[in-house]
Amino acid sequence: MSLNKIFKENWLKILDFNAKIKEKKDFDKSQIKVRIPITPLEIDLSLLYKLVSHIYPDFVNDKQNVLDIIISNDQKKIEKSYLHLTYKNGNHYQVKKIDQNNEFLKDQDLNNLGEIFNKFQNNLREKEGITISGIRIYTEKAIDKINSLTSNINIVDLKTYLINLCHTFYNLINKNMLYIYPEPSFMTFLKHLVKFLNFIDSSKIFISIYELFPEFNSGILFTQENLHFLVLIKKSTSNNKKNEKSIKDRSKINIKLLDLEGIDYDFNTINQKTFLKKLLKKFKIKSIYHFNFQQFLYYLNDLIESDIPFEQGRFSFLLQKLLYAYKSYEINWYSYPRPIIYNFFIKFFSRLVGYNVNLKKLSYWAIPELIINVQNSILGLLNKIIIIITDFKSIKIDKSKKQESLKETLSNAYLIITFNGKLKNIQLLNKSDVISENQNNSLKNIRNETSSRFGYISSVISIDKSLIKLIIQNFLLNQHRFNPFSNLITLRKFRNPRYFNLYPNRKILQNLRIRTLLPILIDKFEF
Amino acid sequence: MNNEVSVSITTGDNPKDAVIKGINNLGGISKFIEKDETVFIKINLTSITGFPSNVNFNTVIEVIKLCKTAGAKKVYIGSFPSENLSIKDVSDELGLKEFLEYYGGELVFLDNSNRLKMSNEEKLKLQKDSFKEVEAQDFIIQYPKIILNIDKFICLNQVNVHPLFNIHLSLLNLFSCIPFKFRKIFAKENAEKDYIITDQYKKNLISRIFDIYDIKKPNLVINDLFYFMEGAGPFIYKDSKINPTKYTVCGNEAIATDYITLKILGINPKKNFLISHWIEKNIGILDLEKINLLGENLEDINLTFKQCKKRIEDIYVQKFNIKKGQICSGCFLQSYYLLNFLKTFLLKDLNYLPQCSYLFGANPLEPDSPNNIILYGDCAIKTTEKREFRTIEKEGRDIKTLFLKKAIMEKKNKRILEIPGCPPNLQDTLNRFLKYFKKNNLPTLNFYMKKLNKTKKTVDFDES
Repeated sequence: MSLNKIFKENWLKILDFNAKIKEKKDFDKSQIKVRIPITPLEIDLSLLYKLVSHIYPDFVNDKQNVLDIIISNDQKKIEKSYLHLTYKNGNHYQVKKIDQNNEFLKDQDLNNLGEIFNKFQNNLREKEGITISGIRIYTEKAIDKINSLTSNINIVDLKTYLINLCHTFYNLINKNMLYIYPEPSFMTFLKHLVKFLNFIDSSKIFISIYELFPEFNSGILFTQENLHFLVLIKKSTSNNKKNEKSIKDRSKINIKLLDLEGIDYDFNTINQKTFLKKLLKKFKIKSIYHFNFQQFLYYLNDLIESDIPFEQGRFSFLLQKLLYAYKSYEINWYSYPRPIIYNFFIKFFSRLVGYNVNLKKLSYWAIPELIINVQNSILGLLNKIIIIITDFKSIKIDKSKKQESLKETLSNAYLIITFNGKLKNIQLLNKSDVISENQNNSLKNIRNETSSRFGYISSVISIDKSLIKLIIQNFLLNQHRFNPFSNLITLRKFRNPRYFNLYPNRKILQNLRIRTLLPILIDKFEF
Repeated sequence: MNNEVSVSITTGDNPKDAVIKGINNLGGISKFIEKDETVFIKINLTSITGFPSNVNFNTVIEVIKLCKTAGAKKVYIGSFPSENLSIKDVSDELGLKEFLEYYGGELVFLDNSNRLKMSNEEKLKLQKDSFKEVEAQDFIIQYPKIILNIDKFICLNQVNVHPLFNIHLSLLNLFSCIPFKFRKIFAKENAEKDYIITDQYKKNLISRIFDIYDIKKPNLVINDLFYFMEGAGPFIYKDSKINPTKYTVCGNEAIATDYITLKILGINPKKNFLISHWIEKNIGILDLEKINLLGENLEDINLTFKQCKKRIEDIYVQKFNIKKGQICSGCFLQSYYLLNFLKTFLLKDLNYLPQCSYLFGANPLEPDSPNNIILYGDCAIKTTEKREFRTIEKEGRDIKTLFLKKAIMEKKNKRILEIPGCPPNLQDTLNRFLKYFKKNNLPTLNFYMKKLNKTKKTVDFDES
């Protein structure tokens, strides 16, 4: 039982490059491309080395050497073990096959890895004179899963790969095929997330989110001292209609990672706007964003260090940080083209007609509290709601028959449970849980029916995919376009039950006026 | 039916199981309800917020189902909500009417708020048809006829903490069988001097609660504390949380059921204002120590919980310097809700406000500055009429010298916000805040009030 050839070749190239760095103590500037391990994403070796150096110590381990152990599926026998020699920054540079004593696993509980780790640690110290910083234990099935994920990695498209990756990861976690000690915080976070999502297959979640994104072609520039790289992300729809059935099936995603050191720009001396504009033209993308990589990692760290589900205080803290970063345009982040909302004339004229939309004064400290308070007052401390995602574009129906047509248009339905103000659980519901064959499937009926199955449901919300797509497109991706009518049309769709419907109707959410809301969202002063 | 007073303490995996077990311990639902009888279930329906300000509807569904299995002809469900809210408001917001109908119950619009489009004569006629005038001490109370004429009366109470009575007992639940205006305690114009010292407000309130209880006593009482709310209490969810105690207390007598509920929660019932009042007035009628206890062993239960703050000064509100005088329970209760509302919902607005002195009660302490003084309640307004801060000294041209010379003159201090009422009404108070501090300084309050003030339009039906 070992990893497949494609994976191995790629891995050995990485080890070889990293080993040379040890000898030369400098980067090899030759742009050798490899794949990021277990992904089809190609990357320059030097960039991979730098990324690992930045990410690994904070997110996995900041000490040297790791032991990989492959065990039988009954978890009683060690099949193989490999010692990976690593630098302190986490880059692996050599792998050694070593023999381990099966006795170490005897009568051991793999959920209590500390003891097993100490046995391996002592053994390696005695035999090899090496100290390890952690162990990774894979069952044979885990290797099978990784092999099947990576076997056609050269030819598979990224979307299919990501779906497979989510599915594989879900299986590894859910079926206890992979153990890591000490467990990195991201692993704990993901495990809790899978549990929180009630073991919904993560590939299903990926597909749901993927489908909500409209087409886009953007770049994200991350910079930090000695590290400048560009991530190009493109979601597009193929024109080849011969073999594929729907637009959904023809859509694909491309991600590229580029090391800017190889590109002839002196990042430090050039003006931000000109620089971003040049990148935009060079890579033929529609928009580009620039973030500080270290700050991005700090935020990611804050996120994965959080308990899942988030406590209200933690949620408030994370949202405050995000809003603060968003309001600090041209301080913490840049984009080209510039978001239209930061245009002086737009701000001036909107102020003139009574709308103060100065995002520099975004009330980052008060908005999370407002959200929590409104959520608490409307939902209470123990609450269940059902969110139905519909897809009207998938069928042709009579516009007037929204309620009846839920049977055909329902795409996904989720049961969301909150307890003491925090999200406790999200469950993916089957269509049969929500839709009744014999009855009129109005939200009112769905609420009454589902209450007998899941307990009192306080609200049922239905929202169409096209509306979510429009929101993402108009308010997230196309921030640089002046398109007030399109934005207004999108907002007005919330009043059309075809796109958004809520039962029972909440007065506090009905007729929300932007004029009343803006003074809450935007500060009078800069705090 | 056996006249023995029985109370059952039960636990279960969910509220439904606990309540079924509780009723079974008392002899089953058929012991309480006979075939073709009409049943009224009195629930907590206080506001348009979520659980646990209102009853747990999972338990309501279960009780309706039980009544139906016993052969009940009709199962009515109802209650009067808090001030400035109609039953229609709450029903529309929570989708209650249709929901309860689906499970075989009927939400009763006790305030007739579902029938708004009618002439004044029709309204008066409807009011006469719906309510019976009942004399309680020196006060005429309008009591819903539907409850008076019902065959069987069930009280289903969600147990939470309560700022004045420690715990929201079934007696308090039964109190909202009547419209809010009859629950309100007013001080008489020539109130006795020791009205505050003797806390006459609380005494009157307790008497009124028992008057209502005596009008129609429930046949079955369910104190649902499966999910018990602790901390600041209803409406103040930020500082409250649900404690899943998993207990339900059912009984065939309200006082006994409340007595055991208090014991479960580790509170000495004799120190509870309501129970102690009852014991004082009814010695010998019911020996609370001889209650027939069923189900779980009371001695084995050891629940602890966080109570509401007992002192208003302990509620910290940014920019508010609290200056207390002698207060009665009326001002305590309203101040408790007001200050908690401010600190919970108006986080942003409080940053815009200047420092304020919040004076309440009779003869309150001196404010820190003559600016932005809030006088809360009639007592604070009346007892500070001659205080120094009522006037300010200002330099100006003196009229006595035909405006030729400057002089220091005394002027009325206009930086005072007076909130009258004994005790003041919360919605009125917030509207006065908005007027005094201006809308642009209170954007969040303005947002909430636009919604709250709209609900008021549908309320005053029973006062027509």
